[in-house]
Amino acid sequence: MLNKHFIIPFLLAYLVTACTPAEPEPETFPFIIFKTGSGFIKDGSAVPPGGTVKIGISATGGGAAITNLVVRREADGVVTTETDRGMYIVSGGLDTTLIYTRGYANAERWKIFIMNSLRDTATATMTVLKGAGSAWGEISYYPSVVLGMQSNVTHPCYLDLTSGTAYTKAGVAGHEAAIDLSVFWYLTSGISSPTLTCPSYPSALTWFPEYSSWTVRNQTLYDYYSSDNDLVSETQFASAKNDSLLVTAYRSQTVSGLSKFAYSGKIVPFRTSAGRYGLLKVIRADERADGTVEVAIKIQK
Amino acid sequence: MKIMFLVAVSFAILAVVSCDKVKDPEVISVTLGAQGNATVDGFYAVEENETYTMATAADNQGDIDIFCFYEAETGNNIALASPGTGISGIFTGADAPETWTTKNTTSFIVTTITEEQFEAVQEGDALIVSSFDAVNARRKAKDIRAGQVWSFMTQDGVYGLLLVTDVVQGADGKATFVLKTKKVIDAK
Repeated sequence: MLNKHFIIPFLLAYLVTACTPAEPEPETFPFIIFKTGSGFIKDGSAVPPGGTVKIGISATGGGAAITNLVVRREADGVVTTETDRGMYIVSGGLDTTLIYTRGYANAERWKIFIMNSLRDTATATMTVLKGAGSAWGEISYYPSVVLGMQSNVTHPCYLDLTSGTAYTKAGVAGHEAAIDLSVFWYLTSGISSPTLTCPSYPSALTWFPEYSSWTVRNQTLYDYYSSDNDLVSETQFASAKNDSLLVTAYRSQTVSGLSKFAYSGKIVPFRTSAGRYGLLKVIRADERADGTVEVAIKIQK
Repeated sequence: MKIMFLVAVSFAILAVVSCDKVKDPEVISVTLGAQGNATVDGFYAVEENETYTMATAADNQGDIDIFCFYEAETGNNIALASPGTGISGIFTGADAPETWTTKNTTSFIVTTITEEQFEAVQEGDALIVSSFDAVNARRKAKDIRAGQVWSFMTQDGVYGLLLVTDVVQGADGKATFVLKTKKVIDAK
């Protein structure tokens, strides 16, 4: 009994003293630097519309874990969130490369924001001027790709958007890291919905549980607003010869890893995890779980 | 008694786990004397974190990454360089670095990092590496001033940030700086 009365208060005292920070929280704060070399863009650089804006950043959490990275583009008074990524980087800091495409505005102001686990923040900004001419890039066009829905056992159900290659469940082994898209059908609030998804989207596991075992699960972001409101016409889609429309049609503020109501005729702007912009046109979509979807794709080379 | 033991173990584990925090960086402060300073070592091995006199440095040529020198005429003033920089006519005698057979080269570039930001850099941060501008780096950190933060890379692939904290001009002068480093394998 003596032991009991001695040990518990002792351990409690130890716990409190050991974990009461003898040192206060760090008085240092996170900060960001822009990387140089390797094609990284500098403040005041000029890039023609369609050109690559390659931003290299390195950041320290200032003694606490980095928990959030946000990248915003301000162009012609419109602020667009290009990236808003949660993370938990305890050591080593953040070191990453961000790749975007220059738009048409005279000047683009890029603002990089990080926050640490103590909610201290840091920002860094750079201005990218408009270069002469244009640098819109080439695109790949895949006029017809047929994919099976979640219960379809005869058609491939995983799509590599970059190459336009579709894989079956049996044939996807070794190609998981290239998969950007799959399609399922369900009733959402009683409405029939052929739906686009991607390996990293959480609810995709409901229809494609095998994604949980993939070591690389790509995130494709679909601009559902442009799709829902038919902002890109079939004529525009047909006439796109370079990536200008693919880039400018994509509204990064209204994107998700899921895009519902992919009915025939719908055109969905998207961005792959590799940073490629594209447009997906639904040529035909069955509205049943064992059906198929036929799509046409235009994507940056 | 068994319950008592489990309680004790649980508390011990909780204490260890709950105290986990980001590791504070090791702070290395170095003072190097210029060529005429008879009391402060002028040569430095970054990885070993050792300072040397010119005579002992000559015996450890492969370890030496940085030395301090003073030259007013060229505007170098108190500067940092390395055996591979090609400095001549500053050090004299048989042990002068220009006579060495192994001459490591370290490159330097002044940064826009502030003293406050330097304090925030943590051990092993990638920023220590990415702050080094290989294109614009030079083989001398010329006319260093207190408060400046220089980025450097040694021949052995150690990157570092160096905050100058004190400079005394003159051939018998010296420079004091604080270092934060990160080794990158195969950086040569």
